[in-house]
Parts: sequence; structure tokens; C-alpha cells
Amino acid sequence: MDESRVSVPLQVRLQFGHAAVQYVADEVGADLLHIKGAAVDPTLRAGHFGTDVDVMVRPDQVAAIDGALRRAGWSLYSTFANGSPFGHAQTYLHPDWGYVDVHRYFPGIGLEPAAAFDVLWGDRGRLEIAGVLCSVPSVAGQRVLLVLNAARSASGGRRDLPVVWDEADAAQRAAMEELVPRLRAEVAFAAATGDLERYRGRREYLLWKVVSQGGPRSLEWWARIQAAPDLGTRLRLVGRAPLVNVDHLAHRLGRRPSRWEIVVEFVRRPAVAAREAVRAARARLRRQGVTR
Amino acid sequence: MTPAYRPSAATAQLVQDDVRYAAVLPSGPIVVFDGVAELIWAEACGGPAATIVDRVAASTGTEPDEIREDVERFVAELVTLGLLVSGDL
Repeated sequence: MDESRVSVPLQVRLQFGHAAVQYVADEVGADLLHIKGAAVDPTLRAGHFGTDVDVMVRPDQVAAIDGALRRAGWSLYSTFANGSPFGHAQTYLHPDWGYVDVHRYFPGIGLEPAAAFDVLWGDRGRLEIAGVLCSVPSVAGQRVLLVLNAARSASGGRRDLPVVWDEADAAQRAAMEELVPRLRAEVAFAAATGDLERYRGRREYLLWKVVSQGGPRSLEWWARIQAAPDLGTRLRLVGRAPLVNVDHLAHRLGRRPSRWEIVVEFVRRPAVAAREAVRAARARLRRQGVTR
Repeated sequence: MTPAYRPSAATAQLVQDDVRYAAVLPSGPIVVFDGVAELIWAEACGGPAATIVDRVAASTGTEPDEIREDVERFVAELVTLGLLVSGDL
């Protein structure tokens, strides 16, 4: 049957990825919510499954699912610390199932991660994917997560918004608007739906303005520090800002970087930040008519 | 009537465009069944063991004895792979 093992469409492979991760979670008793892609309600799909599997895990079960995935053949591809500036997800790669992003929280949700998971878990639905029962957020929850996801994308990456927000009827919008404050996700939600200026006074305002509308990396780091809920988080962000993201560098190079390459990257990154800052300043001057 | 076989508790499967994809979780790989392979799977899980070959033969316009050995080996292979188990609960 070896010949039959070739040519599996990506959309099929992704559904098996969801099923496989759920199987592993069931073995260790971890609670998972399958989000995005193949796990999205058919009425909300914008015609694509994406390229990876996304799941949210109950935050105190991250270590359990991490160990279970590694024992079952997944390898760690990028870490919470180095995967994204939000530090929300860790990526694993399996030779047959592809990539899975394990989320310990969802960017844009301000409620403490365990409590936020409880809110979504309490309203969950069930969806059979490749014959395996998976838990998914309620349809309103899925809409909210897709809107929050869009808030992190440049305008070209917001293909879900027309379906989940623009074309939502009054009842569907009301369901989202009931859930958003429970998750303390008002600012990020507004960044995607065009209502961000209502939240100008909130500490997360600048972060979501930069993330949703673009801006220099240096400003994004400053906004992250401003948005941090407490001093400890702020200090950690300040400490992380100048560090080289070794995972990203390794993926760019296609191998683990040498010590010398890490040093070169360390020097290069502040230079990039400085260049961006200068460009932003020049653009500001041009907008003000000071220079051409 | 109890079907002769059923997918194992670790089998994930789906059918898309008349092609069945199945895998034993969590390790895989995904195995693709189309044409006669899909037909044999469906008949193995759709009726008694004694008539699997007859039903496959009827659907393909062949004599049961011409395909008996191949069909039985194929089903046995699916069981060995862990994709199917006996339908008896």
C-alpha cells in the first residue's frame, strides 16, 4: 500500500492533524479547544483551512500536552519565547501531520489565561474532525477569535473579517459583543472592526494601533511595554527586547546559527530598529510638510 | 446485522471526493483508498464477513473466485495495520 501513501491534499492532512492532536490530548486528559482552519464552523470559513493546526490548551496543562506531543513524534519548531512577540503559542512539527500551534492564550484577550479558557470552554461545542470528536469554541467564540486574529494582520491578511463581522447580522453581532467584555478583549476587537479610537485612553491602545495598522519595530516594542499589565511583565519585555530570536534566525538560515552568527544578528537588530526609527521620523516630517 | 469489521478506536478517517483517507493515530501515516480499495473498505465495514468477497465481486463485475484471495489478503492487511478491527463488540 506504499503507493497509496502519496498525494494527500493539504486540507485532508490538516484535518488529520486536528484529529491526531486531539487523540494525544485525550490520552493525557488535557483540555483542548480547536480553533481556526478546519475547526471553524462551516458558515464562517472564508474558503481555506490555512496551513497549520491551531489549538488552545488549558494553561495549566501546557506541560502535559508538550510532553505528550513530543512522545508521539512531534518535534518543537519554535518556542513560546521565540515564536511570536506575543509569546502566546508554541509550534510543533510532525512528519505526517505538519505544523501545530499550541496556544496558551490568545492575543487580544485581556482576561487572565486560565479564566479566559474557562469562559470559552464553558460555551464550547463539539465537532467531529476525521472521525475524532474535538471541542471547539461556541460559534460566537469562534467569530470573536477570528476577529482578534484579524486585528494582528495587515489589511491584506484580514480575509475572515467580511464573513465573521461585516456580514454578521444583529443577533450574531450581539452575541460577539456580549462575549468580548467577558474576555476583556475590547481594544483588540475594536482594532479589527475600526472602532479603536474609542479606546484611546487604554494602556493597550498603542500596541493594537501599531499591530493592526503597522509601524516600526521599535515602536511596537515600546507599545508592548506600555501595554504590559504589571511591572514584572514590563521588565521581562525590556530585557527581551535586544535579544536575538535564535529560533527565527535558525529557520532563516536553515540550520542552528553559530555563535558568530548570533553575535552578528545581535548587532544587526538594533541597526534595523534604528533605521526604522529614522525612516518613521522622516515619514512624519514629510507628512507635516517639513521635508520632501 | 453486525458488520465484519469497523475502524479501530485509534483510526481517523474521512472521505473526500470519493477517496477515503485513513490513519492510525497518533503516528500515522495517512493511507489513501480509492477505487476498489475504497470499495473493499466499505464492504468490510458494511456487512457480514462471509459475503465481503461476493459483494465486491458484484460491484466490480467479476467472479468471486477471481478476486477472493486478493480481497481477503487486503482486508487482513488493514487489520494488521490496525486500521480495522473485528466488528464484534
